[in-house]
Amino acid sequence: MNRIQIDVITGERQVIELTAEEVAQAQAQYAAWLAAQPTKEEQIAKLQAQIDALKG
Amino acid sequence: MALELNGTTGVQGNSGAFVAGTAVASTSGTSIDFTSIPSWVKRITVMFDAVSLSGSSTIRIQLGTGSTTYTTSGYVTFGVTFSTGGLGGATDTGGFVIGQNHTAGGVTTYGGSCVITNVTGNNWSYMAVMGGSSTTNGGQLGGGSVPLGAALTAVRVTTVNGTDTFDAGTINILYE
Repeated sequence: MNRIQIDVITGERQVIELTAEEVAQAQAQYAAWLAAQPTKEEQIAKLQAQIDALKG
Repeated sequence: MALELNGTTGVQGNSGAFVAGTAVASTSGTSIDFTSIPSWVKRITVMFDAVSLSGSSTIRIQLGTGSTTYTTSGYVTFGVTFSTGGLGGATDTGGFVIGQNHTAGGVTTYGGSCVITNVTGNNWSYMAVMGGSSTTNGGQLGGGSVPLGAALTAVRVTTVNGTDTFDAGTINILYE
């Protein structure tokens, strides 16, 4: 995996290989993001509560 | 207000002028990084033309400081994805997000812009709108803000999972 880097002053374009540390960091950040998201069950429960409220 | 114009590298001093970056073919890479953004910049527009991803992760924008450390926490942001059948949303603290998820593998290509504006000091706000080529996950919105620890010098366009790759389109920035 790699990333593209552009210097906006010079226009120089570089293709830089990701280090193992960068990949590990990305995976750790993604795991943290996933953990912070509501589960499908929680989302369904919230929607159901809104439907129930609309029905009165 | 004086302008400093240089025939090789464009506007160097504080000005009301736009400076266009170099358009990048977003056909590979897990991120597209724009570096060496001048310290006088107050607004950056990131533009997407027919961009797609290899997977269905969410596009995330991270801001960099110094030479170059990307800020990966402290963002307050929310993204919304619209389909004809409904919508979904997600928060993020690791970067500004555009939408909640995208349609994978070039099935949907997206165009639009996000605007990152200096509020005061090193505090930046963000808003984004993108539209896609499909009724599934075709609408993408985002907004938020972040306090940086130092002056902004770089903008990274990546994804929430960090491993999806860009596989189509063009990305560029304007700064002013």
